[in-house]
Amino acid sequence: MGYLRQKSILLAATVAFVAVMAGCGGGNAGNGSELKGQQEQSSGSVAPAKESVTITMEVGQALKEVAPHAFSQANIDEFEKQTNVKVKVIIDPDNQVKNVLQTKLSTSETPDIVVFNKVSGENELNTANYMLDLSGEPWVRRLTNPDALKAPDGNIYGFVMQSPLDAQAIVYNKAIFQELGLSVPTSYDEFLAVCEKIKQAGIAPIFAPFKDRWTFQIWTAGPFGYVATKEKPSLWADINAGTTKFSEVPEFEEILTKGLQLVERGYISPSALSDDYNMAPDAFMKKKAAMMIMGDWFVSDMKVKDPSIELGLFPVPAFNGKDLMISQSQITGMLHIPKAAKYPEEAKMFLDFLSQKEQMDRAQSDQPFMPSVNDASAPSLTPLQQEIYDTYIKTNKAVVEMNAFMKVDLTELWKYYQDMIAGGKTPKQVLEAWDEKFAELMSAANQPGF
Amino acid sequence: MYSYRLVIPALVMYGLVFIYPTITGFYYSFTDWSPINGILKFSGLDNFKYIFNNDALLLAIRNTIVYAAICIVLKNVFGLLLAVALNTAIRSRNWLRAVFFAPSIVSSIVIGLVFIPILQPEGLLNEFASFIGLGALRQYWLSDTSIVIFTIAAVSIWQWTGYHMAIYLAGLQSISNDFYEASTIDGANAWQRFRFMTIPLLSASININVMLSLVGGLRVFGEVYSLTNGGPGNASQVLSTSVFVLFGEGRWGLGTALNTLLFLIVSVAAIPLLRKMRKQEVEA
Repeated sequence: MGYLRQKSILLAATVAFVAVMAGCGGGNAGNGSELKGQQEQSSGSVAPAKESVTITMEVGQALKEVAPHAFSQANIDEFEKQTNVKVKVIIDPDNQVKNVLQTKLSTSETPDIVVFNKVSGENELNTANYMLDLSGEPWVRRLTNPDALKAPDGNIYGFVMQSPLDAQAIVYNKAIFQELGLSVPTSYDEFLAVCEKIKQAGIAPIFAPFKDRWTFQIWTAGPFGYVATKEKPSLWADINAGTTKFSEVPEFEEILTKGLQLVERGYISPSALSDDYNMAPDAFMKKKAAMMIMGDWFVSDMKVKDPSIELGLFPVPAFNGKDLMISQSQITGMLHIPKAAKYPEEAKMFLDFLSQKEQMDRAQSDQPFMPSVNDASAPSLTPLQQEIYDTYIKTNKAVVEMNAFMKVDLTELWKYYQDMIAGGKTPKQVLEAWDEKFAELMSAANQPGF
Repeated sequence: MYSYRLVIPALVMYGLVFIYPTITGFYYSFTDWSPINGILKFSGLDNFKYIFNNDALLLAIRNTIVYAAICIVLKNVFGLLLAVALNTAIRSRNWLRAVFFAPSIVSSIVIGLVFIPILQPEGLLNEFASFIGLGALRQYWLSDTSIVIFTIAAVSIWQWTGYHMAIYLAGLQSISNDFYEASTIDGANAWQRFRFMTIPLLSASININVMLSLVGGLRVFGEVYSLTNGGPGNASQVLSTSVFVLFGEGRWGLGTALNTLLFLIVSVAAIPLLRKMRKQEVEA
């Protein structure tokens, strides 16, 4: 029995060894010859994989919708065809994605590509520690604005297909403005006058979905950005260094006070903290509200829901006698490669593949965007995108939102805004409470100066 | 007799999924554990000092205790009253038992999503109040910071009262009718029979229900998360949602400390209560 058992084990081991070797050899030979031909057909910068592998690309659900270009199925199919490298997209629920990715990165069980907003990634995923430095990749030389992709340490930790073309502003119903003989306000006082006229006409001047925490900050985004860009150019750097506090900037308190006045004067409904973004289309379709503090994405959403409504945008008018500017978001949907990725070379290959003109153009055909590389075709923008580009970006009337400069998560500040609207905090108290929380978060993130 | 070795598989599982995480949780709550810090540092009582000096976390502790207290009292009072009512010989009692029990088999998240439109300013509850002439009672149920935690507790009571009713019903049905006949002959009225016979003989059911509502109340998460996500601001934040927030901020050490505190609060409240109530149990 013992002899027979030994023989059986030996036989099984031999068969397994031969099978494995045959499998590897066959696979390599097949892939090698097949890929050689494909490499000749490719743009030249995309090298084929030596063996068939599957790279994983992980992203939050909302981000995949907001920045869909990297997930173009046509591009993924083409990449798989050219390289024999499969791409598997893992989508996490929005309220879990940060925790899931933080846990995966800290335990080195990472996907091959992490798709996350640039600054949020620096703050929440510690990109400088966990992601590969991609500054030497070939596509970097072809970026229109490489500085925009640089982390605070000067390195580039990710690639992105699109340059920002969004606008956070006041969305308004053009028909209501026309019926009431109103023109777009260019100052805070004019804005109050417009609100008053709309209110007297029995329409809610501003629909405010403040149940969603992220919404009130849009009121502050452009004006805060204006202060930091035009009046105090070192403001964000000083705040991040711990040498200036939010409560020490009088303009911030003034901007919050003006936002709160809209609630106090009844231009924003007392039910604002019960209202969410999903209720906004109904309010606009039934002409219950004339304006909303929001952005271009709402105009696009409404185009689908009710094409008959014509909506426009104007910058948040929180000042008198100053330039009004729209604000733009940080770079969204940046593709990072973790240091612990199983297939980093194949992931780099995928990024390089996406950066090529063919892929940029193919993704543009699904949804137009401003390409991040200089050799892609010029986009055919929607009328709204064109208006944003012509009116604000080209004329330098756009600032980057505060979030893009912050090294910590701002959700707690947004909760303080809700407290303020509920009557629990004054604008001054909001800023003081945030100073305290900001210092704690910066300290927890090991930021110097805290 | 069975061998003690049969306990080993269950013991191993219990050790792996409860004892080990609990003990390591204690350890991590004294560190600065976070995804940013590559190296763990012992931080002594810093995390606990922070908790007791932070207004938002103190509010979360207060909300948790208020929520648990309301739930313990009202789930049990309503559950017991329903059980007594549905233990009588009414024709629709089986149907009614099923109706009252039904919400407890639905996920708290789903219940939350269903109640959001009902509790909106223009929602069913306010509209109904106006319809019956009680418009003065209209409230911003989920956005008024002074009442929001009570609103969430009310939804939870609606959901779980039927569950507690079922346990009380089982207890009531195990009480022999002889006791009631004897007490009736002795001249006891309905209230006396309820106070001096039903309540003592139900003590085992009361113990279970109080314990379940206590532990469930202190560990509440789903109801708060789905109805308000702790808002507006931090007005309805409770311990479990605060732990979730802290983990989201990457402050894992602090989050673990808060979770440890929750564990201690549940233990300190539950263990002496359980001992005291066990002593009072009466066999039917």
